[in-house]
Amino acid sequence: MKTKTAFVLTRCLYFLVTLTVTIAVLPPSVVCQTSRSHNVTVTVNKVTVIAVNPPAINLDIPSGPTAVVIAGVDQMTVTDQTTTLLWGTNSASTKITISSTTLATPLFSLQAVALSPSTGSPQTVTLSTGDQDFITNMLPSSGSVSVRYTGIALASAGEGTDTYTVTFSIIGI
Amino acid sequence: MMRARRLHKYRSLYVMGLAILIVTNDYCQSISIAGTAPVLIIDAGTPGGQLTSVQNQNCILTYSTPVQPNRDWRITVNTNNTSPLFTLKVVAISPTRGTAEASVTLNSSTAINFITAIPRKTNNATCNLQYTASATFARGIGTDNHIVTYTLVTP
Repeated sequence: MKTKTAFVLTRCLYFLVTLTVTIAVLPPSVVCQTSRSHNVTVTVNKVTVIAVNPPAINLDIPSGPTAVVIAGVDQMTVTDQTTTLLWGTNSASTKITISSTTLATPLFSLQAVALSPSTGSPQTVTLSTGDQDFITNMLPSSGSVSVRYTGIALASAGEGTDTYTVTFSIIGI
Repeated sequence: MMRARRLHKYRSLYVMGLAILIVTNDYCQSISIAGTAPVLIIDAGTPGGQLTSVQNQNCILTYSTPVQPNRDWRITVNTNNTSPLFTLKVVAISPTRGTAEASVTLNSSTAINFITAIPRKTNNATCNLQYTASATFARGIGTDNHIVTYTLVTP
């Protein structure tokens, strides 16, 4: 009787030990889990982009549709508002500057101004070499604005053509 | 002779118990995520438009459901980041069992349905986790950290 009890107890112990070992070595995939987490990180770096359309415009005096030529007045003007400046910046405290190529002997002058930008303060600029502030105090934003160019010529300066390459830049302050 | 018969009886008992244990464990509910923790970096944008969104689909979710109870299961998702600067969405791509819900925006600790109608006895079904990050220029620069949790629940 004693031997039988000992035998049963031994078997039970054997069974329990084996079960414990089995559970311990089971792969994690078959161990009950109702919830799992992992880390996801989203990083936004500094992004500054700018574009201008169309690639070229012409201001023509006196045949341009907006040319103002008055008999007896030396100064003649012509304007163009077909240019759109587009930007995007996620940096705080930025501005857009404007610069142009150097003309050895410019016959006429050229002005540019942004018309009611959605952010920042527009400045009227007479184009020359070196960066000049065009829109200041800009907030992180994206948007577009029309640019009005004004060509100014004196009748006394005669005929000719000035060609400018105009560059817009976004600069952090 | 008697001893041999008894030994055979207990051995059978042991094998039966082991089999029940393994079968039960194979079909208990389980969920796991494989793959490197996703890092989504936005570093481009369109003038006059928005920043370019980025996607990550490198992680695989594996899930199983038990034999009992006799009912469908679902997986929910939530995040610990309840005020992120940027938008993070996740959707299940091609789940082998169950129905993928619409893309979930991760900005709440409340569990939102992610995969529904997962039948019982589902064994190691999988889907890809597709994360999409997007942002506006106005949101500026920065980093959001999320701990995203997937949970198997009964309806």
